[in-house]
Amino acid sequence: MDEEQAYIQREDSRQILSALQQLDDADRDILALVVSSGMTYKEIAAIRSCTEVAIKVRVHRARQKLRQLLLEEEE
Amino acid sequence: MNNILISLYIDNELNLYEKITFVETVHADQAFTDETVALLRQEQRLRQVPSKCLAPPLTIQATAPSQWQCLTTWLKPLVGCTVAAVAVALMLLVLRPDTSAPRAEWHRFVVYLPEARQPRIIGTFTDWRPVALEPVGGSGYWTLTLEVPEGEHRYSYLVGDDRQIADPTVAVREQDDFGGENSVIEVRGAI
Repeated sequence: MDEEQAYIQREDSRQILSALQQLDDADRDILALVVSSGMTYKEIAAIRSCTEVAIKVRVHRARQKLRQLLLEEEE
Repeated sequence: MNNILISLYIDNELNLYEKITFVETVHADQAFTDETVALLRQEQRLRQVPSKCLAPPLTIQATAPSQWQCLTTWLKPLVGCTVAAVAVALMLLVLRPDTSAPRAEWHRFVVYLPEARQPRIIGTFTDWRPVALEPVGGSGYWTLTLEVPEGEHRYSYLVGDDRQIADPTVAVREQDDFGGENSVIEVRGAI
């Protein structure tokens, strides 16, 4: 990766992180868990003591909120 | 409601029926397709963020004991969420049809130790022999699934120069005879 690409990627990560910071804790944590832990919804439901259906809903809701924040930032 | 299928698709969680619905919806609904593509692109960006920046605030830094001491202050944001339980916990299967045999359960242990080179787990279910955890990609998470017999168990993780830490996600702890601390879990044999 050349310097320019690295800069673009860093900038993109900064933008995403900035949007993530604006999510509430629960949304940010569930997204981080799904993206970085490699755990399945079933496993996450087990450690969070909730149902798999609840995890499905929360993950998607968090993604949609993040999308909205990114759109607002780009406008 | 079908929009949830997009996240299931992204996370490889669709069952066969949901796959059919997903594909049919993609063909029939342009707005759904657009949202799918937008969220996939977003996911691509999200996964390029260094995982250490994404990780939930459950970090026990293997090389930073002072942060470990501050764990109690971290617990607040953790509650309710997190990897918290990171630990223990999946009941998967019944292992032994023979009811006279001791029952056991598969537990997946998960811990976030981004600085650790090769953390290990020791406990009553390993006869206190260290067993290496496996890295989850480059995410900083380490995991291991073990068959744990029914009953009460004590365990901890070994990191760095065999520094012993309890599982940060398990509230019940106990001092051992050597100045260390173990997590305590109760395993009920799976049916």
